[in-house]
Amino acid sequence: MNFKLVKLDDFSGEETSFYSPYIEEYGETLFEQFLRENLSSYRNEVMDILERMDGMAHDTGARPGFFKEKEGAPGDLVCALYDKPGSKLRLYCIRYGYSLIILGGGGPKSKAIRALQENPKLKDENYLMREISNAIYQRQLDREIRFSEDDLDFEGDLDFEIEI
Amino acid sequence: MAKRYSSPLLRELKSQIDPKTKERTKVRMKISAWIEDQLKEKGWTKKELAIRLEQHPSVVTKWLSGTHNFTSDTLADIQRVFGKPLFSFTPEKKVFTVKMVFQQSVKVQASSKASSYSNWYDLLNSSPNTKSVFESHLKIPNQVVNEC
Repeated sequence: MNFKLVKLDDFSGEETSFYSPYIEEYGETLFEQFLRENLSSYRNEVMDILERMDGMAHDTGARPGFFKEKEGAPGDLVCALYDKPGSKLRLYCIRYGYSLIILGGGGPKSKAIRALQENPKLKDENYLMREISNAIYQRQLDREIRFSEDDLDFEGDLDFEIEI
Repeated sequence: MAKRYSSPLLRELKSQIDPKTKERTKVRMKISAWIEDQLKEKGWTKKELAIRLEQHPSVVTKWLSGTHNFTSDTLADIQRVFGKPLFSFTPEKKVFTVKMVFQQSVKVQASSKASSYSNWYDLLNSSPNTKSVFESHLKIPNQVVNEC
């Protein structure tokens, strides 16, 4: 799968930047795909997540308490945003401190399941983020990607090809 | 450098965020951030704060989630253990230094309104017209008013 990391201009601010993988094959970002898939059935939940993103971007930064952490493999920084009060949706992300978040996909999480692996859609979205996190980490090790001085941006080669 | 990206969907959704709920969300998040900052400053864990407030640690986790609707009693308890106010209810007193250089002696007829102004700065800025009348008689250097 080919993707490019792009910065979501409409939702980024002086405290936190939001990025998302733009998938060439789909012609949109994973985050837009998540929005389209959930807007009709979970409009209030989606809007709640967007409001919280706005708060992080402009006021508080991406505090660890705002996320469900350790949703991926150890050390891969995969976590999830969720809505309130129902906590019905999961939006998988990769959190790099307070300043930079990569938004992926997700979906509704039923109260009937405990582990995300019990839901094929959530599992796919979660494991894709784990792969993306690994690819970015490898680029960082190879010094092909670095953080900007203010930590709000990635610099370097942001075009990827991964096998899934 | 990352490509900056936007789309009609993202723009449309951003424009549909309700200012009222956005502000409520923001306040909750800011309180959470303040609690997190205080924990760091004190070097306390979430569990330590929970013990000091006789709460379950999961309650503190909820406070830090940025989604909790705090009661004033809860905020009072949190402020007490940190020994620091989250909000200041007393309006801050601002001190202004006004420097004026008189070029010539002028008669200023005090209006009945003048007595209700707390200082010259308020009077000077009460309306563009008042200000221009004064400025025509007084040489007011740049930055006559320094907020202290």
